[in-house]
Amino acid sequence: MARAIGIDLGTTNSVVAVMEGGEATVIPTSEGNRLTPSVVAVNKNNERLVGLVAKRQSVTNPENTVFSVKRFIGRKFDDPIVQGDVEISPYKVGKAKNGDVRVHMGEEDYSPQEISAMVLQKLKSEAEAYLGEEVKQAVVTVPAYFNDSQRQATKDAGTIAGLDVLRIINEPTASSLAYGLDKEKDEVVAVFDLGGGTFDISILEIGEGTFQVRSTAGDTHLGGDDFDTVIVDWMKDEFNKQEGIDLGQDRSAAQRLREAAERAKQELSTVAQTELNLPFVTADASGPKHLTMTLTRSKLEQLVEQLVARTEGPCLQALEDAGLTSDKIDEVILVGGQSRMPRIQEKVKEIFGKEPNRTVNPDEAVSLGAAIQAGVLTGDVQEVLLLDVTPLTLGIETLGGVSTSIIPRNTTIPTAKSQVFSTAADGQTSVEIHVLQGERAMSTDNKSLGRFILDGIAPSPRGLPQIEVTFDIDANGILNVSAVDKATSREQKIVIQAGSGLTPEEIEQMAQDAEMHATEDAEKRANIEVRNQADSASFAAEKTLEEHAEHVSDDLKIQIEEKVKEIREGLAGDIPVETLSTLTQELSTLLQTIGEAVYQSTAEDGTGSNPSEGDDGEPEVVEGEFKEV
Amino acid sequence: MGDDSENINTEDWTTEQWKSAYEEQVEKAETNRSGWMRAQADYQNYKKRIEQDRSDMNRYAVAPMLLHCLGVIDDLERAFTALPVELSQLTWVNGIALIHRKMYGILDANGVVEIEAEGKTFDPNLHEAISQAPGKEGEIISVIQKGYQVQDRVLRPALVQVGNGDAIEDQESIEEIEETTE
Repeated sequence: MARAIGIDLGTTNSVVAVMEGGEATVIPTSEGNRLTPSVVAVNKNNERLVGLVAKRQSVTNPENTVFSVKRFIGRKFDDPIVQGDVEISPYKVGKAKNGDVRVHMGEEDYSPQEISAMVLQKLKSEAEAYLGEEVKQAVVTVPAYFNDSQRQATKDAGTIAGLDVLRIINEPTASSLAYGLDKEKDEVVAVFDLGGGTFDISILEIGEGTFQVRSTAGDTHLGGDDFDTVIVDWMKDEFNKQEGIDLGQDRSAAQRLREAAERAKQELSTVAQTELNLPFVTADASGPKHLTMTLTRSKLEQLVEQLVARTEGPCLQALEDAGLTSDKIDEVILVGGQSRMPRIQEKVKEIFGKEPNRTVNPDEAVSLGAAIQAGVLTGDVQEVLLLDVTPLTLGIETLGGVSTSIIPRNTTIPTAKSQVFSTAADGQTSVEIHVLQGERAMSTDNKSLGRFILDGIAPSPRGLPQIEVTFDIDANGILNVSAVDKATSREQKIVIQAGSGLTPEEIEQMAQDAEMHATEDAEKRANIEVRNQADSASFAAEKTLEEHAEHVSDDLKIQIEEKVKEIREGLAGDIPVETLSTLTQELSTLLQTIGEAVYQSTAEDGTGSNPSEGDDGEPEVVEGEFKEV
Repeated sequence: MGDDSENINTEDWTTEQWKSAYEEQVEKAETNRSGWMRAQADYQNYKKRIEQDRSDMNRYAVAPMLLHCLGVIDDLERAFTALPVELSQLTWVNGIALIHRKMYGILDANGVVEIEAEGKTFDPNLHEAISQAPGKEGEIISVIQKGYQVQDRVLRPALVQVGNGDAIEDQESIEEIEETTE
């Protein structure tokens, strides 16, 4: 079935995404890039280049490399905005008979639609290569401030590229879709989009799945690149102060400075300071020079304060135009790479009085939203079966009162999962299966769904019997839990009705509790593990003492017995886990000396030793019970 | 859930009713079956894609880490370019050169290959033009930063200066001087 793609057709870069397995995903190019520069060129051999390759040769071919054509699409040549951009354009821009814009590339003139179509075509091919099937339909995004002419021209670009454009949607709307806002209550949303070159703020009203743009504002020349420039300038100034050399003149150094500045800026979003380290950045008569300086986050924030402040004006303008005060905004979402900066997020909080939502990748939100819309519009030809997921982990109680997961939460059902368990004590002839629902580490903190007992297990050393426990949830949400003794094939089971677990509110509470107690629970689990190991070790020690009695000196025997006693007392007395761990280690070392002695004597006199019976622990003999809670 | 048939009393059914109920069930069964097949097919296709992704990841997973290392190798090369002649014979300096060579060994072992650039024809698939300079048109005059490839993928394009077809002035004047002094 043909799939529709979502395309973020940007001024500088474009992204294509598609719905896959119910989720929107960005489609990488064959070179592994998630962004495609919106650049087209014609080279000396009259070959057409699109995307990254076109960008890479732009310096050698400025007159025939066309970029930022989005600034011209759907506009008339005489439009003052067009005129402003024409001036700084290295490629020739002219006027068509009907007043539209024409760009000159190679030996021909093209409309902006035709140029954009080339970019769209490249994205279409990449999508087809990735999906392994033809792609005929797409949803394409445009800025919220685009007029009819610009929207139609963008749609035409799609048609020229061989795509049936199902819909043109606004970029802020697409971002909102990516954030899943259409599924929530009716609300007013502010979309704060600070990308590489432009800043856009939009106020949307979302109601009953429809989006209405209340207002837009922005700054077409404010973006991440400006932040990089500020840092580069600072680096040059500092270096000049230190060494008296102006790095701006050195092409190669300028390149390194820019790369280092961008990297430092990104790092400072997560750490408080970073080192700029450029060895052999330049040289003068006295020899090579190195650039090393430390940039702290607070210094960076100082340097870019003016840029950050520039976002405020448009935001206030947008609020005014929408006739709203900041308290009427229900949610703010962040789009664009530069919005990752902590100071920007603080600024957003200052302006709107609430914490911005940044759960979606800001570089990809627009394309993901377009893909979601594409998925909605194409719908499904076949019947979609709604599959549920288990909201909470299902498992059983194991040694030490720990809750062991069998089916993790969010597993799609119907499904079945099995795991093999064993006995905890020697001679144990029955096991109790205690079915639990919840995320906590201890069974007492989870919801008990039911218990049953499987008996008739042949008396054996602990850990030997194989009991296979299977959890099976059918299409109706009914949970079947069974336990089978692989040796005897004896089986016991329990059926737990759907909905006998926690209510939605309780589930919510459980999830929160689990998060709150996450570290604590992890520690508890780890501690019990140590205790279980200490316990095992002490039993193993006693068995070894008996089996190899003749190789054990009285001295060693006493040492081991004392150690075992220490461990047992420690377990009963609840000593710190680290001590228990150390004791277990010490016991293990002592036991190893027995092993050495055994193997040595075997080598010496060529005889083996006779293992004697081990017999401790009372078998639990209980009739096969069934208790439903 | 359950079908409606559970609540229907079929005791007094005519043959017609049975026939139509049967046909309905056959149709349902067909739909279910093809739906099931489709779901399984989707799953298998998804698995294949995941496996492809995983093998791609194995091949290219080293890429981001290697990119960082390349920066370090760049710096080492700059250090050696600037090596004062009087120090070049020091054993200690040779030691650093060996370390440099070792880094190249690591690149080699991971299938990373230097992109040929100097003197070659400019190719935007492998090179990125930073600026133009006098020299043969379309030929790479100098390499600002080396480029590397891993398998068939470009890890980092070579940053280069490309000839713009202008004559190289200085060269000519030097030749002239040499001629007149002979």
